[in-house]
Formats: sequence, C-alpha cells, structure tokens
Amino acid sequence: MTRNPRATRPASLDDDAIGLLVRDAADGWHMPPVRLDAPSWRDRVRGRRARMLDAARLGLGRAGRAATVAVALTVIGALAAVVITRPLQPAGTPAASPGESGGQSGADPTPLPKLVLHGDLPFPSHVLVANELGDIALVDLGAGTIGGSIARSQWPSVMTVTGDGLVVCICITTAAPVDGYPTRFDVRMKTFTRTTTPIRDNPVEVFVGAPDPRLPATRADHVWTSVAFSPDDRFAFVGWSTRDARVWHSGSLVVDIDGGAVVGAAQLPDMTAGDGDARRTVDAPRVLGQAADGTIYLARSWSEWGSANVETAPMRIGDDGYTTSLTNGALSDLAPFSAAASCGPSFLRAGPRPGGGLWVACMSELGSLTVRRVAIDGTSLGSESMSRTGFVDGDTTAVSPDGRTFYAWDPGSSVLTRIDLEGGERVDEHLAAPAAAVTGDDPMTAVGRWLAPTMDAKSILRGAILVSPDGGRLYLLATTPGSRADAPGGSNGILVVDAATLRVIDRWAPSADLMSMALNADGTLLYAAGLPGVGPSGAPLNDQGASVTVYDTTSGVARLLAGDLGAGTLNFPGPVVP
Amino acid sequence: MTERERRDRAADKAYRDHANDVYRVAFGILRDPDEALDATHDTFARAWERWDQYDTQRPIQGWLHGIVVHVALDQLRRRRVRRLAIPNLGRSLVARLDTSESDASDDVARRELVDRALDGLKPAVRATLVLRHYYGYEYAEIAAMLGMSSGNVGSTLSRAHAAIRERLEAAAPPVPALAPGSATTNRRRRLHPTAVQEPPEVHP
Repeated sequence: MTRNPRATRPASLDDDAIGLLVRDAADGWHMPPVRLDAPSWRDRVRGRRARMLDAARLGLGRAGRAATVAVALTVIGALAAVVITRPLQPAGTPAASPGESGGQSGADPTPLPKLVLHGDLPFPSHVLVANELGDIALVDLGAGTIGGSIARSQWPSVMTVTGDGLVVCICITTAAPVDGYPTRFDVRMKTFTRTTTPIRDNPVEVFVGAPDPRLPATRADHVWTSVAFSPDDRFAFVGWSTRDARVWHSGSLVVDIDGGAVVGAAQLPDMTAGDGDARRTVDAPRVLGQAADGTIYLARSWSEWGSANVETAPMRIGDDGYTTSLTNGALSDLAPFSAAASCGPSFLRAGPRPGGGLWVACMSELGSLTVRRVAIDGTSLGSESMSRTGFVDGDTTAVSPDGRTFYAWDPGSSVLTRIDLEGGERVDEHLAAPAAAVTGDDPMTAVGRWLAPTMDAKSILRGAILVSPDGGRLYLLATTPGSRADAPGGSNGILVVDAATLRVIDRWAPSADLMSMALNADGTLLYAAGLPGVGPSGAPLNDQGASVTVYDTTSGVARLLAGDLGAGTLNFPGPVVP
Repeated sequence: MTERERRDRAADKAYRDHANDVYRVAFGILRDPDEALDATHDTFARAWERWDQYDTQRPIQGWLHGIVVHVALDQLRRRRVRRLAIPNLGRSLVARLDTSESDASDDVARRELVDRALDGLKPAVRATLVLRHYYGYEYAEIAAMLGMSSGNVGSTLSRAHAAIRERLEAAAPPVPALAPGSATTNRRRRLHPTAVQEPPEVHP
C-alpha cells in the first residue's frame, strides 16, 4: 500500500473528480447505532403534538384576562428569580465577560422569560421583523408576542417596511418552466398595513425568457430579478435579466410605491449567452448604493462555463458596474464604472467619494473584502484589502451618515477597520472587549448575567454593525469562537465603540445569542434579536424562543426583554427599526 | 387496519429503508453525528405528521430528503453553528498530510481531506454537493428542496468545486509547481482565504 502523503491528492481535480471525492467521502457517513433508551422519531411525534396542545392553550389564554394575569405573574416571577439568584456584588463593579473565568460559571442557562419590562414601554413597541420565511411579521413588545407572515409570499419576492410602517412586497410568481427552469416571472407590488390588511395590489411587469436553442439544454434559469428600495421609501427598483435564446437582455425598472406604477426604466447593454460552446448566465442588475443627489450605483453579475453543463470548468465570473441618476422616478442613461473600479469579482457596495468620484467595495469568492477609491476622472486612488474570518451570511460593513467613512467589522478576529473614503487613511483596531459593566441595581442587568453563564462560544450575524445617527458611535455584534473548530459558539454581547478613537467604551452582556440589531429613529434605543433554540453561549436550549432585547443606548441598561417570540429566527430588515 | 396503523406501518418501513440516507444528508449539513441523528428522528416525526401530503407516485427518498434539508438547516439556524476555522484550514490539512504517512491509509487520508474541505463550505452548499453527487438529483429537484433557483444550484456547485479544489491544492501543492504569473497561480492567490492580496489596479 502506498503511504506517500502526496498520493492522497488526486492527480486531476476536474469537476468529475471532485464529484467522485465528495461521493466517496459521503459514502463513509453512516448513521450511528440508536440507543434504545433515546427518544425515537415516534416519541417526537407525541412530543410535538403535546407541544401543539400547549401552544393552543397558550393562544386561547392570550385572548382573555387569564393571560394578562399569567404574563404579570411571569414578569413578577422572573424579577423575583433575578433578585433571588443575583450574586451579591456592589453596583459599578465589573462582571466577568463570557469567555473569561470567574463569570457566571456553573449555572445552566434557562429559557428567557416571556416578557420583562424595566421602566416605561420603549417606543416603538410594535416593530416589524423579517421572519424565517423572508416575510414580515409584527412583534408586539408590550405583550411579548409575534404575529404571522403578512404578505405570505415566496421566493424570489422581496419585502420592505417603509418609515411609516407600510409593508411593501415586490411579489413575484414564477411560471412556464422549461426543463424545470421557469421562463416567466409575474411581478406585482402589494402593500399591507402592519396588521396584515391588504391596501393595494398592482401589476408591475411580466418578464419572459426564451431558452438557449443549443443542445444539450443549458441547465440554468432564464429569468432573474433583483429588488431594492430607495432610502426615502418612494421607489422600488426592480432589476431584471431575461435570456433571449443566445442573448441576455437586462434592465432596471423604477416603481412608484405610492401609486404602484412603473415610472422609470433603464436598459443595460445586452450580453451574450455564451460564445462557441460556452454558456453564460447573467444575473439581474442590483443596487449597490444610492447617493443623496440621486446617483444610483448598479452592478450586474455574470457566470460563464465551458459548455452546456454548468458544472464544467473552467468557470469565469464577473461584474459590470454602472451609475445612473434618479430624478422624480426617471433614470438617466447608464454610465459604466471605469475599469479602475473593478476591485474584485463581486461588487458589494458603492457610493459617492467625498471630493468627487466614487468608492466601491468588492468581495472575493472566499470572502476577503477590498475597498477602492476612484477619482472623478476614473483613475484609481488606491485600495485597501481586509481578510474575513469565517462565514458571515450578512453585510458586516457600514458607512457613516455623512458618507465620509467606511467601517468593516470582522467578528471572527474582532478587528474593526475604518477607512477615510476621501483620503484613504486606514486604521485597524483589534477590539479587546472589556467586562460587561454592571450599570446599577436594575434587575434587567442582572437578568443578563443570570441568563448568560460562562461558556466558550461563537456565532452570528445579520445587521452586525450599526452607526449611530450622529456618527459618533458604532454598535457591533460580537461573537466568541467555540473551543473546537466545529463547535457552536454564541454571542459575546454588543460592543459600543467610539467612532473617533475606535476604542470600546462599553459592552452590553448578551441576553441571548444575538444575531441582528437595529436602532430606533433617534438612536436612543437599540433593538437586538436573539436566536431561538440556543442560549447566549450558543449551546442548545430547546425551549428557548426567538427574542428581542431593547437596550437604552445612553445607559446600556436593558429596558425590555421579550423572550418567547416563536421557534423561527427573526431579524430586523434594516438598520432602523420599523 | 386503521388509517393510523397504515401510516405507522408505512413510516416504519420508510425508516428501515431510508434512515441512513436521511442521516447522510443531515450529516452533510450539520457535520455532527449527534445533531445529524437528532435531525434524522425529527425528519421521520415530521414525515409521519404530514404523511397525507406524500405523493405516492414519487420516490419516498426524495420526499424525505426534502424534509431533512429543511429540518437540518432550520436546526443549524437555531443553533447558529458557524465555523471560524477557515484560516486554519490550510495548516490543518498540511498537518494531516504530514502525519498521514505513518498512521493512515490513502483512502482514509483522502476522505479526511475532503471532509475537512467540506467543513469549510456553507451548510447549504454541502447539502447541494451531497444531493447532487451522492444521490444524483436534478438541479430542479435540488432547487425545490433548498428553496433556491435552479441556476443557483449550478453556480453553487461550480463555486463549491472551485473552493474544494483550492483547498485540496492548498493542502498539497501541485507538482510540478505552478509557473509564476500563470492564470492558475493568479486565481489561487485571489481565492486563498489566508493571503489577502492587493487586487491589481487598472489604470486606463
């Protein structure tokens, strides 16, 4: 038997070889023996039904006065438990942070109470969140409850919530599949009140694609869409790409949200569906950023393979970027980014550079981030690249309200990067989180300690970095890596950072495994969503529901905690809580 | 025989015949034997509850795979398993190669290398790989299971292949060595997770 380690690497790593390697590896994955005393799937059926009955009883109870009494008792019980279990510690002394010894070690996490309120009810107390289905649901923080999906839409529909609480859905229905790939997208704009009442349902456009006539058939979609909304909630942008046999057409529509009509359009240059034997798919143009003067930055991605089978190497990918200008809903002609703006295979964000020109942020396939500044004449003014640690399925970058500063947060390495978008000055700061401060005798702070025993952990994130409205502070979702590479971690709380010095000025202990944040309009309250099914450390906690904790940004005190918001994940659809 | 008894009997048979296939997909997503076993049991519990939704004209394995994908990904979302080991991956693989000479066969070492490369991928990407390469599902079937477009399945697979190729190459550099400046060399520089390169600036 050969024992040369080099021989473990296959000589030819084409896609077929990789497919065989994957199959070979998966062949070794066998179900372990099931212990006779472990709950089987049958036991879980019974357990599930019992839980459904419990849920039904709870639902009935909510409707009546009995529920009010129960909620009150829950709150009183939780506060009593906090007082009873709270360690004796003088106010103002720091508590150990998760990950440090000497914290709340030894205590098992317990599910959060349904509702704990400290002081007045925060405003807003009815907030809209994106649920696990990508739909929008209403959370009543005064009652500690969450409603059902409002639009009941499915992929590839996209929703947003306007500043006045209107739920807007660009709802898309796919149809007419050819070889399993839809050739028709029917796009409508539907609006709802936050209590799910339909207001309007307008047709927007029907996009139809025609398959490539070449054989064998290309196994890829024929129609793509991408939806974004303007910051002032006036317009929706519907990017589209359709295959027309050997050509791809692309463009962008502007939909007036008030009237529901298409008020503007722009056409991008056609692209080939692949020359020779190559096959190309072209994604819909997407919005990278919008400037206060109406400039819109668009990008369109394409992928190309050597033959009809999209698994066949070599694969090439790329983006082309454009600027356009929005005036009362009308779009000007598109102007392509200069070649100097291409800083990576995938554009992430873009915006106007102070002093003229633009900046773009690009991602590599494995996640490194590059920010490039481009002068008004199209020449590059320099780039800054940042490594990323681990997978983050969300944008961990932010721009200051004045548009002058770019921030990138890498929670895996706890490195915060600040880039001056005009001059290019870069500062990297490794953030050493201080112990969470005990800010007083308030019971909510103690709830955080009570529920967050020490454990090594990791995790997150969506909405991982926020900038305060005045630009003076940054709020970061922090994580702690697990003890093993494949171990689940959890939340390390929220870091409050001085934007001028990049120094951590406070850390708020996590009440849950936090995954999403948003601020209220004036930045005085921070809403943080916690994951269901886990405790703050990321360790499984099956009875834990999704949660929302509301922090007072002035004092760092948790004002409200709603700990039983259903079994599905939820997050905030934007940086400002709707 | 009552309806419930018929359902029990059918579900029992499905478990006997397909539990390991359900487990394999769960393990591909979760990468933890205990959690995969947990997801397997949950899958059959959910299948039993929804048995009236099963189209008997279609293979039951595909239906069960559709359920387990959602169960496992949902479990992952709730427990938020995130892997922060990518920067260490190359070193780990090299270390594994260095030690494999004396204590493991090539087959075991190869599987471990591929397993470690799979560890670095997103869970849904691993699910796509297993469903495609082990079970041979069509793109449209995988798309329906994962709630994505068919085109995304193809591009996901291609990118996953590229990522695995990069990681395996990082574990054991190709022989002969790549010529400096070759297209492959440049691509490796661009994609390597631990070496952030300044992208070339184009001056018109």
